[in-house]
Amino acid sequence: MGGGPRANKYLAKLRGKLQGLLDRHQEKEGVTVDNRITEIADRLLSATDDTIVSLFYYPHLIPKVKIPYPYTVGGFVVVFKDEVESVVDLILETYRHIPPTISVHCVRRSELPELSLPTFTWLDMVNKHLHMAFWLKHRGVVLYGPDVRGEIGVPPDARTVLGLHVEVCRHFSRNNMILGWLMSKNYVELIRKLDWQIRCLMASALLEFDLPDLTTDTIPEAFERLYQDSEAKDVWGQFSALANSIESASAADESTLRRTAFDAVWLFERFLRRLDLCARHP
Amino acid sequence: MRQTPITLSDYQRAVEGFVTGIRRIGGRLVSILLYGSVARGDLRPGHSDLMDAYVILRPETFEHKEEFLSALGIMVDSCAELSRSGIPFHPFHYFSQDEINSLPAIYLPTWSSDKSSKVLWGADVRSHISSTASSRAVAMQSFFEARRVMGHSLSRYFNMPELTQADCERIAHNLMSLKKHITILACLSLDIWVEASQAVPRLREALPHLDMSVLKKIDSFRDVPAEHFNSEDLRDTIRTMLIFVEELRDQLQGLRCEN
Repeated sequence: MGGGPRANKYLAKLRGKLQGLLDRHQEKEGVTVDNRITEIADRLLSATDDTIVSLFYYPHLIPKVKIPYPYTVGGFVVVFKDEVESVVDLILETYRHIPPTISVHCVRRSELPELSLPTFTWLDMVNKHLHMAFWLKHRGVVLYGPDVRGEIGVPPDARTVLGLHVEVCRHFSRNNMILGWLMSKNYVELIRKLDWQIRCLMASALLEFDLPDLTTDTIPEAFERLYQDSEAKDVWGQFSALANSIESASAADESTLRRTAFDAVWLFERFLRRLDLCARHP
Repeated sequence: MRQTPITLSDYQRAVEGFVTGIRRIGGRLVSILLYGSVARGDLRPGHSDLMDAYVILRPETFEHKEEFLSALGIMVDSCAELSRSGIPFHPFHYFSQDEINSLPAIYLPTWSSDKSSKVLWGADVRSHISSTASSRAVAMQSFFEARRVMGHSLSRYFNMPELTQADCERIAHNLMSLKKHITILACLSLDIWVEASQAVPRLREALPHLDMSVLKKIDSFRDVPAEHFNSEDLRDTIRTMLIFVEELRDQLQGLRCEN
């Protein structure tokens, strides 16, 4: 597959647009954003000729402090024409140009509504994809072709998303994350991961407020300000104090770390049960 | 490092030890349920994982900190004990009894059937296991994202210039996992609620014209020693499986539209 005239025409425009996006993102988040995105999109468009209808990118949000996990890895949405001959070969080609650290979703145009369907999947996947339709709407950028995001469809209501998030979290966090990491004495990492997971749950709880610019750093403040459930907020306050105490302690002995990790799990469970109640009985 | 081969008796001993350990939770424990290959009786010693189980606790356990921490400590100790058995192991699930009416719908056929689950200890709560309406709706739609997240992402391996033995093992594992999950999810999308072992036959009934030969090929990987994997064969299987998944998607969508 070689570069088509239509694709080439857009490339110069694309570079400028992407650079603008990255600059604005960098300014807003105070982080260094990898500008490989431009080159990746460039290569992808050249390689897939005129089979692509549209190409979107949603940005990679990196927290400024403490938590070593991105809220979402962000990524590309590649929309192929419905009439392409072999969509599998196009998918294989697309993945050749996008590094594994960046998400990619390949759909034919008529499949766009599938992007807004909620899914039951592993916890790390749910954290990445549950909000994708919202991120595309608020932060997504059309890199190439017409803006067909209106065809993605309406995501489920915020409480349904929260209920699903709690369900997945309950199912997958207790076995591998909680029991597995307590067993392997990975206490500090467990507390950090629970902290991050609570923020992801808060973000789901905040979907009903339709906030466009949440990051892992700003989620707790927005939750404190907007969410009505005082018990959930109280539990978060206790968890946050505990997580901060571990981060600021230079060297704690193993039994202290173990006790703190167990306490963190207790607070996490209380938070989960509280949000479950909020999702089911508004 | 274990020197002797793992036998069926090792699994039995590990399960018995697990039950004994978890029973230390005492009056807060409602039941211990087993599912998966060990429960079905078709485990492959040395390959099948422990511990596909879920421990049901009284709701009050989640209301009182000391009770919860005590139960948690016992469950962590049980995990540590199981991990020392030398049998492939992953931690089990635990739930409060008041959560079993809102478990993920995708697992209901497995968890509530006599054929694929059994009570190891305590009350048989399986008839009380259910899901919310939204969980059932989500289960019926999950095929579409799984197709992209689990299916398309295999393309990364397809494009790797050289595959190590570890890569080959991962590809075979991911293909087997994709086969297992995508066929269950495809059935669910047609409102056919099945557990893993019944998914392929039921799908074959529902979609008689779909070429499913790649699934047999993937099954054969279970018996291939890691050092005998062939890179080109695996690449070819990835592509064939992706074609199968896309065709499956199109046929499912067609049937869903008809209905």
